[in-house]
Amino acid sequence: MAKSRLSGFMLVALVLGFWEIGCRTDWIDSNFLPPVSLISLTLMQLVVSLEIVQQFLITLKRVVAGYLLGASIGYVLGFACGYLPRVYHLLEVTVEWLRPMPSVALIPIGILLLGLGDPLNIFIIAWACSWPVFINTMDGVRSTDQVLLNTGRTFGFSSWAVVRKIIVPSSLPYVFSGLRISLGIAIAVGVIAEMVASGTGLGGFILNTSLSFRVPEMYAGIFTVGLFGYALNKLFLLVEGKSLRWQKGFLAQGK
Amino acid sequence: MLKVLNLKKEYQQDQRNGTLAVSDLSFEAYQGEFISIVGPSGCGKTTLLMCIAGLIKPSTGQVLVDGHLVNGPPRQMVMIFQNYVNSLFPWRTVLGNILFALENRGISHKEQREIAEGFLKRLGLSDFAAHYPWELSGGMQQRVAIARGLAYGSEVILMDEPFASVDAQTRADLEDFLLSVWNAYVKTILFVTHDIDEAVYLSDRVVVLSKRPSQMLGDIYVNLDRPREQIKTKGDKNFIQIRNRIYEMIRSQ
Repeated sequence: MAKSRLSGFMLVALVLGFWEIGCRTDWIDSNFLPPVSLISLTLMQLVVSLEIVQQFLITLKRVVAGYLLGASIGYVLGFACGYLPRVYHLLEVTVEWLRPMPSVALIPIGILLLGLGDPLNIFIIAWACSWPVFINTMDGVRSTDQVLLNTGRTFGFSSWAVVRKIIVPSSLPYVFSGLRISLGIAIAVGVIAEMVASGTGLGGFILNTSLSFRVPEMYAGIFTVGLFGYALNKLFLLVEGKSLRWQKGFLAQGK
Repeated sequence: MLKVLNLKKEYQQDQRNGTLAVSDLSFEAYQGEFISIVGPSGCGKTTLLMCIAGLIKPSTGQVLVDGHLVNGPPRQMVMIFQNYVNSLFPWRTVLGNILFALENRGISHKEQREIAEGFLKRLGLSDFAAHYPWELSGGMQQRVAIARGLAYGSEVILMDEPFASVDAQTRADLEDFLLSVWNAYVKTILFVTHDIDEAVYLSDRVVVLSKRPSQMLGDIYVNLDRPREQIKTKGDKNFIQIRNRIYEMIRSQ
């Protein structure tokens, strides 16, 4: 495991190395793609001057709020649809019609309803996040093993207790799957929405710096988004690892 | 203790077509009896057990436990399922699984723990209390499943081919384990198996079912001495006689 990680890092180092050398030798036009060294330096300056930190915090706030909102709605709806097939039959057509809509395309509607500003961003992010969580939660609930359910019933548990004690834990791996996908979407959609509608946050920062030809700053902004995503993902895996400690061994059982 | 009266179960596929799984079965089990149910594969043994356990509603007929009509899983019965991998909760430790049987009884957490740990100790599973089920061997997992069923405290225990998924050696160990448990706790056990030797070895009576739709072919008393012993009992003349008789019954269909 450690060996392939090391190779992964080395690969990145190799690519960055080529990039840097390409710029220095003018094989890459530094006006369009500045060298890594300059981008890193610029990033540090932006951090120190707090310029990028402010924008980052704005994006962070929106992404977290939108993610939590979207994930909660997706979970509740997905659970209901998985547990009560009738509910899903009722909602199926609506869901399958709304789901493929690109969240960013909803921005004009969002602006009409919510105006510009945080609520708009949060709404768009929440919209985009809810679908993966919805589908995975529904799948997870549906795939609860019948033997587990019968075991619950034979021990005299009420329907509600069966939901709480059996279906919820049993579906958790699926739910986490959905949550993880949504996390990536939250950041991507958040940044795009900012570029299109806000002018603030990291997305706004990237747009503004590109329009004013502050090229190294623009790349610094893009890097920051990438770092943000990487950090959130790592944090997520930490939480997932703790909650699903039992799953690793269970799957490895190979039955 | 347990009465099955004219039980019939038909699975409806559509308006006209149905599969008759169980047709008109009646028998009785007395308190503390160990009864095995044998029959050819697919004859509806599991369906029968599920009806008795109150997990499925029979099409006609009744099940009475201790005089009460069964209309959903009754307090006096617990069922232990065939596939232990799917019936033990993988997100709970061994202790957590045993606790599950006690959580619905309105007793304090402390008392639940004490009772659960007591069962683990008496069944020789204390060392595994903090382990997850998948960390245990198949045989141990099935012991945990049995311990959990026992901890529920019901009078009747239904078991659906519980030893089908383990190897022969583990099977023999589990059979003796079950007998010692039955001796210590005096429950009424209904034990479904396709293994005739196992049925005769363990039971007081063996109910023999026909091909689907299952009807009663025979209700045979096993008059062998207890305690049973793997080598001695299985070599006994009577054992062989009874077992051959059952084989013949099933084969002659």
